[in-house]
Amino acid sequence: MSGLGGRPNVNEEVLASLAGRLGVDPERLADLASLDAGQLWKLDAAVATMVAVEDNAIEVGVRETLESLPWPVRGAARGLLGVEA
Amino acid sequence: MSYPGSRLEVAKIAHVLGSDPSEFSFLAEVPAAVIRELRHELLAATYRRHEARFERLAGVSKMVPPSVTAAIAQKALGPQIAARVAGVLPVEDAVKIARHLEPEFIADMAPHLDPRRIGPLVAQLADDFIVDVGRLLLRRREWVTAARLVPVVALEPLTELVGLIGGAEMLQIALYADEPADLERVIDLLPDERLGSLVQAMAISAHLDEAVMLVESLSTTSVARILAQVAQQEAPVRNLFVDTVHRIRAWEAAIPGMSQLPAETLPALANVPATLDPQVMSMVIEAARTLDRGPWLVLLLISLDDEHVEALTQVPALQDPEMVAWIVDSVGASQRIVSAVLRDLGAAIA
Repeated sequence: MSGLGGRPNVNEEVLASLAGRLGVDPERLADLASLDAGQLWKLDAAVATMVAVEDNAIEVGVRETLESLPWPVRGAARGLLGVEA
Repeated sequence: MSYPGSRLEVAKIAHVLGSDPSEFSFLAEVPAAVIRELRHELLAATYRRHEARFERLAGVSKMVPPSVTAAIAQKALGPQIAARVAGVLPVEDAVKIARHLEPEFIADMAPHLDPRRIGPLVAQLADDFIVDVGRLLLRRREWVTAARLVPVVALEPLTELVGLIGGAEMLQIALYADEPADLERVIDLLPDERLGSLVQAMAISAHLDEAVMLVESLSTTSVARILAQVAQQEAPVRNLFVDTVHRIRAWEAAIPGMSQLPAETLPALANVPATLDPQVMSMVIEAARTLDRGPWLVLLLISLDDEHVEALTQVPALQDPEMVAWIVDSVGASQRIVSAVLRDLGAAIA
């Protein structure tokens, strides 16, 4: 913790956000602390976009895969993928 | 300040993020190893976040024949997610499905494949099929992807693919190689004349510093082969390489390779404008001492032309009596001759 009044500084906030997106401990990203907050935000935003694109690709891929499967196996595939009919 | 190798790592991480490298040029102010680590975390995260889902999709693939799975992957799943699922499929299942995929689709998947996961799969695909996919990646100028896949491609298809490209393309792939061993594999496949075209491409590349840094990570034999090609270039190219080796402080990597060159090759590398600078020759001498290459250093000194010999009188390292004593001691039987030569050059000899 650093910054005024014991609040985490902006860099620490962004690094925590980035670490959260990557699922790693913020300490693993400590070497990026030399970047300024704007640069870190830009990096964090790009990672957020990448994650969102991948999430969307998975949702679309799962939905279209289910629609493309032969109907006799669709129910079992829905169950396996945890998708409601 | 830009760190050595960071610009290339910026390009690699931008590739993972699906962005233009210019958007992340600020990352070049971070050491390359840090950007590389972040890239690995990004790639790991793409799997970690959805691994259970990829495994369930892999499970669905077992419900239908491989040909149907392949058709669905191409029509519905898309290359990005298909690449992730390929990384969690049992190899034998993945091979059966891959045989039904179009090379174009696999080339679309390639940027999203994790080489560490798909090596055993690629090893079981037919060489012709790998070459077809590789041709597409080269045609699309997918250098980062091609470089990442070098370690998983077998020797025969790799040889065929390397045979399809020129020096500039080889340089691009070399620059983006993830590990020195990957680069060494490609260099080993190149006959000397093609290595010459790689050297020419390096000379006009905006990434010359990075390319010379890569040379640092190669085996002494490969460095010697590259330096032999440098020695055959026109004077401005030779000077550019020597100047770059000096500027990036790479003498300790270059000298073992230079030591393997025939003596008649040395004058071409030693007698360039860059080595007229006393600081350059001083660093060469200091590096030779660090590496204990006294006899080679003497060989280098006697390969200098008159203009360069004259410049030696200003070299700081030769004013250091301890350094000069080391040179004389390290040449054994010819000590009197070497002492006389060094004395003639104004060296601080006892």
